[in-house]
Amino acid sequence: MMKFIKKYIADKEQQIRLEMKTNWSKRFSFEQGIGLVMFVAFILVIMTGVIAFNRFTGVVNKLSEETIAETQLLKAEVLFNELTDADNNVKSFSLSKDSIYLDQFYNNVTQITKKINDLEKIEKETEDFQVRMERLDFLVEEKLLILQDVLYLQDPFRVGQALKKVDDELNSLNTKSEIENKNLIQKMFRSTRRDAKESVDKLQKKIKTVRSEELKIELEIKEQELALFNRDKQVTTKIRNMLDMIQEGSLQRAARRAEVAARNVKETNQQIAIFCIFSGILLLVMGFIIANYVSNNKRYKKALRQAKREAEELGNAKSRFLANMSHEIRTPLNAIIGFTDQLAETPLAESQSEDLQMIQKSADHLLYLINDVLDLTKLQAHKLSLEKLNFCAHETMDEVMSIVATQAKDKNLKLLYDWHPQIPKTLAGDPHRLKQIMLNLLNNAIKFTSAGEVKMNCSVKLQNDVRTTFCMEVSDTGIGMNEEQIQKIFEEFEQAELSTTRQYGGSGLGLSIVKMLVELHKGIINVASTSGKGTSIKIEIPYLIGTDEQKIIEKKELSTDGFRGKRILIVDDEEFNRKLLNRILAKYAFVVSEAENGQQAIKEAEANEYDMILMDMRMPVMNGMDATRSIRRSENKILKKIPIIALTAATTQEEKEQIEALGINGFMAKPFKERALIEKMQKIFKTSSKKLIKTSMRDSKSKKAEKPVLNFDYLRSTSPRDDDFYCEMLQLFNKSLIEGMVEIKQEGIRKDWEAVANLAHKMSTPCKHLGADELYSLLKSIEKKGRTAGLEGSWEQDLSRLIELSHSAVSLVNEELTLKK
Amino acid sequence: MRTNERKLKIAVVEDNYFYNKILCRQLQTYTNVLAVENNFHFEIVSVTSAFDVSLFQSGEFDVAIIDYFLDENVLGTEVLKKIREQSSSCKALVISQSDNIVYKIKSNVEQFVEFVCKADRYAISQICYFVETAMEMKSESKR
Repeated sequence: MMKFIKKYIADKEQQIRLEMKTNWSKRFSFEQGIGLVMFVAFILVIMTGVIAFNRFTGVVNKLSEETIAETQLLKAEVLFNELTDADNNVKSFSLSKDSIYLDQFYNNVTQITKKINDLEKIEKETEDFQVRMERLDFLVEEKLLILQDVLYLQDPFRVGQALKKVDDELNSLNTKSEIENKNLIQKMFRSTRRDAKESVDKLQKKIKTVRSEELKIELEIKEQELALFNRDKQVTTKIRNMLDMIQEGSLQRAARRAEVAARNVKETNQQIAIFCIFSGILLLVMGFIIANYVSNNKRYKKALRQAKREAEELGNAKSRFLANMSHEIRTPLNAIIGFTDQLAETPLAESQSEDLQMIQKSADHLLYLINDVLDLTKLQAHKLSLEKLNFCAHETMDEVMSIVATQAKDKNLKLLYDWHPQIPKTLAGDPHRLKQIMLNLLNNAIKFTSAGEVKMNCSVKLQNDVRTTFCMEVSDTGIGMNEEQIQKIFEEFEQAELSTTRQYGGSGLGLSIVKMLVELHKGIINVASTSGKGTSIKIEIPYLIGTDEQKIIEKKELSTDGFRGKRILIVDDEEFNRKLLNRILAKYAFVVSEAENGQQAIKEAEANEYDMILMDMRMPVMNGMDATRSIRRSENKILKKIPIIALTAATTQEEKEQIEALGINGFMAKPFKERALIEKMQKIFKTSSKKLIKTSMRDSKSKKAEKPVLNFDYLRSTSPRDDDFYCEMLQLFNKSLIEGMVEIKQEGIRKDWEAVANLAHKMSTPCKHLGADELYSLLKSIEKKGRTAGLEGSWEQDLSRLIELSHSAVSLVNEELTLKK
Repeated sequence: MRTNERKLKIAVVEDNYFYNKILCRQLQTYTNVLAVENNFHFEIVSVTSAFDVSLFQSGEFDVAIIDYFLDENVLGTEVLKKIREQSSSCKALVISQSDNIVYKIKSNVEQFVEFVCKADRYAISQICYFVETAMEMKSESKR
């Protein structure tokens, strides 16, 4: 069954590990998937960006070209305006002959040339345009030539020429006149008046001729001008047409570019939309994968939690199973062992005695197995704690040797031991666990050795005044083990081979318990073995060196005085247990009554006066815990103080603590030995009767000093697993007692009896809880006397006794503290 | 400040440091079990002096466990009256080393007060039962 549970737990753990592994692998593939999708999405976004950038750059370029076309149109307009201006300036000049217009004209020419160049630079893309531009260039040139011609016609020197002609005519006339003058002088005297008149006529005639010539020229110029202007008009019209054509071409190209840009924008938008849709789909896919992953992850976590819960439940079930099985097995085992012991005390035939011994051995073996399983459970749950007691290790070894000697003898094996003289006589530690380690190792060695010897060597090392390391080596000449088998022997429920279990039997727990116990002691364990030759197991356990005075392992003779006639109520649902207890108690002359459950027990206890109740804890109708609680709450002062010993097969620490918290007086774990039960009962009776005895002693004014007996059980029960608290309370007890003594002495000197009474009252409480009953009684007596002014006469005597008792109490507490530390 | 439904606030006024510690320890152990079994929360406020301000700054108490004879000639019943000014429904348990104090208490305190003699071996168990009963009563009254 245990193997099955263990296997189940292992399978479950494996399943969880597998699920976790699967989870990890899914997580890994998820990360890859997400990474891939993110990479594709990233590439798409980059591509979208690049395409959008290129497309929009193209669109911007197209729009820029459109702007250029607009600039071109503007420049063409400006060119035409310049031509018109030039035209106007020429006309203005021809009319006004003002040189300003001429200057403006030449400015216009410069601007026109520049504009033509600009236009040529802007637009070169089509052949058609180039032809038009060449034509425009030609036309503009022609127009400018016409205008130049017009300007040539506007000769400013033409009047001068005309005047020069007149002047020439006049000069020729003058030359003729001088000649004529000479003749005239000669002829002066001839007829002056008539000659002058002739000259004027000639002059007028000449001027008239010049004028007519000039008029003729003027007319010719006018005609030429008109012809030039007509020509200019035609050229201007052509230029206008050409510019219009250029502008129209530009507009058409601009329209085409705009169309292309719009198309580009549209295409780009479509592409971006496609990329966006694709990216969106990818994001959706990614979201889905993530959501799926999260959902799966949650599922896995849930499954893991569930598996963990199941594993924990299984673990708890294992503990519960062990506790229940232990309880169920221990209860009948209690009867088997108990009745066997009872039977063994009766006169038996030899064969009957042998049979009985077999039953006893079997029962002991069964108990041993159960204890092993429970110990293992406690060790695994870290609930097993070690005691610190002074003990004689040699005695422990002797005890163990005497137990295993029979087995060795049965197999004809030599059982040897070597005890090193340097081993301290007393060690401080847990003798029960050392015994368990020794027993397990020796049992194991004997079990697997068919011939030869089993030897135990004990020694010490690393020893000083306080500490020592106890070394023990158990060697045999048995079947031995190979390396692989050695690796497995410390595992629970494992033996070297399956065949070993069949051949030699055993639970396979012994060595794993030994290993765990050694580790609990902070010790080390080593195995050396050769297959077919034997095995040697060495352990080293550190111990404090104990003191002989504090050694508590002692066996006392049972004193059963005072048992006769005491009334005991046995409460147990199992008839055979009641019968067994009845049989045992009857031997000590107790008067016994029985109850089958808690309810009956309460009724019985209320109806009759009992000296003690032996209460089973697990019972139907009302369990022992509820019954104890009810009794302790009783209004009946005698009943609520009745000593109760809990009898239980419960073995868990929690159950023990729970039972102890009820206010029980003692605890007996089933199966119990008769002697242990009687000792426990004796101790409890002694404690309850101590008060009466002491009163009687005081009454008889016996001056014999009695050491105050401290009982640490109560304090220990308040701190079952907390040594720190226990030690702290002990220190506190000593401190308050010492300080209280100092103060009470001072108040006594001052004879302030009220203060003495108050101090005694204060000091008495801790004494009660440490079982310092005599000290407590003395303090209460002092308090009472102090409050009734009756202390003056007895103070010296009371103080002397108080000092004596408190010193003893402090000393005992210090001893307990030393032991604990 | 009202205490919450599933919470029991306990005041321990005991001038003897030793007894105070041991009582609180036992109460703590006992109430830990009760807390788990009954889904209750317990809070223990412990003082060794009647003049400890933390006693009156901790809000309302459901249970008060008070020593009768306190230091500086203060009586537990006086402290109880003070506590009840703040916590009118506080259940009180007076503890004392002397058995006969019970009569004094009954004559001095109008409202119901339980008494436990510290000298009794089962005194602390009785105190624990008192706390458990208080818890049960509170639990039932809130139902």
